[in-house]
Amino acid sequence: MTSLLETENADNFSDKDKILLENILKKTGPSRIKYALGAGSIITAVLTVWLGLFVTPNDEHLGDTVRLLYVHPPVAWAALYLAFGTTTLASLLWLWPKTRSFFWDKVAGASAEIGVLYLALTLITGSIWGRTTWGVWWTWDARLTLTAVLLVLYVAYLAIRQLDGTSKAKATRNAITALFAAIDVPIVHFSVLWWNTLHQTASVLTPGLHLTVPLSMGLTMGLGFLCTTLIWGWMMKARYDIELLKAVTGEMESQRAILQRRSEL
Amino acid sequence: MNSYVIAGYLIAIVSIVGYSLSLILRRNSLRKQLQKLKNDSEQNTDDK
Amino acid sequence: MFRDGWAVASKDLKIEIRSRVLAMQVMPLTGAILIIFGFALGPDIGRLRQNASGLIWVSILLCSMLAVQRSIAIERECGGEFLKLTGYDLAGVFIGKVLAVAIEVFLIAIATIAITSVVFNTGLHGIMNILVLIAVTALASISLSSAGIIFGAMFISSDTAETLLPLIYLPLTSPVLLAATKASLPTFSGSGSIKLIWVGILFLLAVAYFSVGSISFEPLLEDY
Repeated sequence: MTSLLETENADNFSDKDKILLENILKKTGPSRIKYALGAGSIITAVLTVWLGLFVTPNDEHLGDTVRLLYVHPPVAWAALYLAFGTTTLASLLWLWPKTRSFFWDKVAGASAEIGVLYLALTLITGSIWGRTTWGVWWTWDARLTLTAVLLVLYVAYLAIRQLDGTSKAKATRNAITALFAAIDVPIVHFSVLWWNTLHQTASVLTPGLHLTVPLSMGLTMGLGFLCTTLIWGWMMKARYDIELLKAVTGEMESQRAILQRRSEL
Repeated sequence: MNSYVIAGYLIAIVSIVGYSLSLILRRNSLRKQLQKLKNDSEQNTDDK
Repeated sequence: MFRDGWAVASKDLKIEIRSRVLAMQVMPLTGAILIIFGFALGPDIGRLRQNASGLIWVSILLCSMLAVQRSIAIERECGGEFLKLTGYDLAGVFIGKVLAVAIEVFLIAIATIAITSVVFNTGLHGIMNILVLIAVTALASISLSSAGIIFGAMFISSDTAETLLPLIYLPLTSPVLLAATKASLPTFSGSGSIKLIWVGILFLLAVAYFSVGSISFEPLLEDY
């Protein structure tokens, strides 16, 4: 990476550096979009929990358990398609020479970390669902197994992100790992069709867009999807800010160390 | 209400809120660190 | 590109034939793994046959990792440049490396299947099953070697390559393991009929791993 800072004296910054720091502090500080995303997340989350736990009716077969459906599919969707989809796209944009920018590497890493959190929640809520409806915490159902594999893959991806190297080599390595990991996502998606096992296929909204459940349940589930999406957006901004700040402070500190060293000689 | 359902909701809420808080704290401490570096340099300039 | 690929592949295979590591170390290892499975799962031959498909593919997967490491070791000895400076087309180098490892994995698979047919008493049950098995093995070999070459090359200069490679290679290839096991289950257990959808999935996986690998190889090397 070409140096962000043009410092020539260990204790002083050039004017250009000052503007850059000012900019980064402003960028990572409070902003309207952050408040909007944060407020939206909180409102939709509170509404989803309230509607999901207290307002919607019990299912005639599943009873209370149906309430997990306002959490499980939304987090699964946000993990598999929103978070890992963003990671894949950002990785491709890094690998493509015309759009190559460290911005994409930071976006890919941020989204993958949130995806891992969401995917872990998907497995946990799914496991609770399994305990109440199938009687077991875990079965070696194809979708469950492949989802667990996916979690391991993205944890490995996050581990690979921590490895040393020049920043360009690191970003390329991350992007390639992300692309390989992404191959598993469509397999998880189609697994319910290919394997004829326990996990049910999408059943609330049929392909013809006919709602098969009461309207209040459909709306609550839709709100759940909106909620996980907004939370993802808020977390993305926060996680990206951290990456940006880490890059600048790291750069500054190494720069200072070099200059200090030079002044001692 | 079914305690499994409650547990599912609680785990989801706690982990999302916990992760969000950790993000806020990490961002704030990094910002403070950067602000301090910037202030230090300004101080030095003023001294001279 | 393909001529370069063939040149690289035959070079790697010649080195492998000369060193005999594949024949003298990896093939006996797959036998050892199968015998350990036999110990662990008990003397009930019926149970072993029932699970033979999974056991065979797990041992192939583990041994394929060694074939990948061998192939990467050849390059490491030459400075980890992957023939970058010799004028070969990089896409050709990738094809060649993948082809050589895929052929090795294919041979390992044949040895594994031969050993199981003796120690687990599995048959092959008909010419159709054998044809499907050959297709399954070839497709799985391409997937395994494409992923293996890329991640082997990625960690070629890393101190912890021995632990990093399995960490990513095993979960990454487990969809291949799953599909190959399902596709050859009836062949080894002798019950049920083959579902061709598994061969289709293996084909899609082979295309996916190979194409992701080929778009990754050049950027991967350009930064080292």
